[in-house]
Amino acid sequence: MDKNLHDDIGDWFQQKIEPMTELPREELWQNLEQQLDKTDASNYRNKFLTARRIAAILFFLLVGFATAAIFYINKTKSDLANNKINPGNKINLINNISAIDSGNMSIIPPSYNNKNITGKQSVADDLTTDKNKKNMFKKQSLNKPGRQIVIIKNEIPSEENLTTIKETQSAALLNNTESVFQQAMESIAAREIKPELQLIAKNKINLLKSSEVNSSIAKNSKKNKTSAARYSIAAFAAPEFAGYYLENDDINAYGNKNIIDKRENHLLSSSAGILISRKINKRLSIQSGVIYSSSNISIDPSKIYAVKDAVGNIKYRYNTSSGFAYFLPSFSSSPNVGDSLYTRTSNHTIEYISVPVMIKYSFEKKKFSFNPAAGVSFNFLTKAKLTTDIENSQNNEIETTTKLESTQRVGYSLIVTPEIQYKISTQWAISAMPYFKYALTPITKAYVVRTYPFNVGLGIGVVYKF
Amino acid sequence: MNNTVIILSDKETRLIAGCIAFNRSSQSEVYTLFAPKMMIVSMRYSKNQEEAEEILQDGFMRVFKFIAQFKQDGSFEGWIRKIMVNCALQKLRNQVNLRPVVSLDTASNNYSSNIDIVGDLSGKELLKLIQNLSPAYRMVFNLYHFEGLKHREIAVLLKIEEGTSKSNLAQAKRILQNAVIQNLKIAKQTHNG
Repeated sequence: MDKNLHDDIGDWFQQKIEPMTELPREELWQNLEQQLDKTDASNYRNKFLTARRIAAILFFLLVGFATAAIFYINKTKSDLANNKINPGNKINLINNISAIDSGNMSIIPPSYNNKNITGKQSVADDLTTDKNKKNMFKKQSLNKPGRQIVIIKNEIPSEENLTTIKETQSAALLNNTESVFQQAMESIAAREIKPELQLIAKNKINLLKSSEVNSSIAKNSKKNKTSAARYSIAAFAAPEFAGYYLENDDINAYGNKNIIDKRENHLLSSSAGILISRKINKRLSIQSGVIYSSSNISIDPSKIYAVKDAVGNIKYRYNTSSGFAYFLPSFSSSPNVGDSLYTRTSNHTIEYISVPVMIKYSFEKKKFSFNPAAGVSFNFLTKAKLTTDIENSQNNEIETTTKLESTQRVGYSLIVTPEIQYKISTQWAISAMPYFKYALTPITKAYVVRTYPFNVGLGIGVVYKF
Repeated sequence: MNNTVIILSDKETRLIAGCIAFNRSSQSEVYTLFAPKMMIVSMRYSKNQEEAEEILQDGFMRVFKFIAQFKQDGSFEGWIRKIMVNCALQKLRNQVNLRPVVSLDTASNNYSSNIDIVGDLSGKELLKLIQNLSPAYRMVFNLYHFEGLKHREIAVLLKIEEGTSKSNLAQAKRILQNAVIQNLKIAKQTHNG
């Protein structure tokens, strides 16, 4: 054998081959482009994942603020209305009336069918001399309920005015002030004053009584309309915190709850669903629907070991709280039992479709209705995905599986919610639904751990009654 | 440690920036620019055209995926080439059959000349001879002569003993030498006939 040829053959090969070029087939770029499109799509999805999460959080915050704002405005209105009839105001008003009754004062309204009604002393005069009192009345007159009081003190209305008042005064306003006003009128009517004035007072009392009846009828009608709604449908979305309770199963020795618990971190999860309620009686309803839940778990870097699978193939086993997966990266396709590889941070996603069946107890207070509910939820696992980056000293490979072993596909949970609804109209309401869900059956079977997940979330949604 | 920073051409800098931004025309340009050279690299490490194209495709996917990690401590072409070689190595690890495809006794050596012998064969014919080597021999031969790695480095990379690397290289060279001589013999007979 020629020594030189043997020694130099490598260099000669290099000199001859190195400058060469060869165009690959055109289809190769097309294939590459297709793969790049897929990668781009994946990158695009991941790129906007954070933005979508932020948007969802902002939406919930917005809904929360809107709800709070509506609640606050309503509360303020209610407080203002209550101020007109609070006990202090009532006493003042009655005191004023008593003063009229005592005979020391006279009512001199500006006009009554162009006739002046005179008394011993004019309240109007008294009021004009007392600027503070006048201002107080002015202030009160800014609100509709207060206007009635001003009318009593400053002006005895004409018959025409009475009709106008009757038409314009809302039932709600009358509701708040009628009792006080009625007392005042009765007091005036009972006094020995001119018959004309007594007549006005009596008319006014009749007017109030009829308004009261009308108001009561309106109320009952509304109530009947609301209570006639037997069904309600609620759509909600909820950010939630998911966790789990782990128990060692000791079926095999590939891991235990401490190892799994230590390396898994729960990320913000979410739920969305539609619930339908049907009233059984005035207070009780039965509620059911469909809820979609997605829980995300980040798993810290760890070491995985090659073991024999059920059919005797040797693969790397990755344990999670929801089951385990086998991986066989291309750079370590023929491992021996006990060989190990490292995994970088992994993502684990579990998606469920749940069908809750709950009993709901409802009671109302003003525009709010409180609907505590409890029941069971039947959970159907739709997806269990694990994505990990497996590496050794020289290579790494991203592996994804949607096939987790030892995972229970169907389970059931306890679900409890103290739902609060705020009525926007007779048919629509905004719902805040904090809830707690706890698995009564483990989501794993024949595994190193028994996992009982729980979820705590705050659902915000809308309710439509029909 | 060598911390030399290579100054890239404006075109390369522009293309790299475009690829980082997932710009398809920049990716296409990079492919057009380097694919012909990398095809030869892939062919040296593979047994046929199809396998070479697989390596090339995987290699370019990695190039575009990790292009943001490219540091200017070497040429851009060198970086791409390194990725191609790694892809080829990964492919080798997946292969089970590592037996040689050419017997050691395929030819007897009756030639005394050296460079002229190789010079008489075209680059494509030589490439074909490399492709005919068993994967293990082909890998060692390529890494040693084309990538300039030492036996120690090859041993670490292929997870073999250093001695195995040396013997594989010797065997590979012997096979190639015999194959070259055999090819020339056939060519000579054809020419004379």
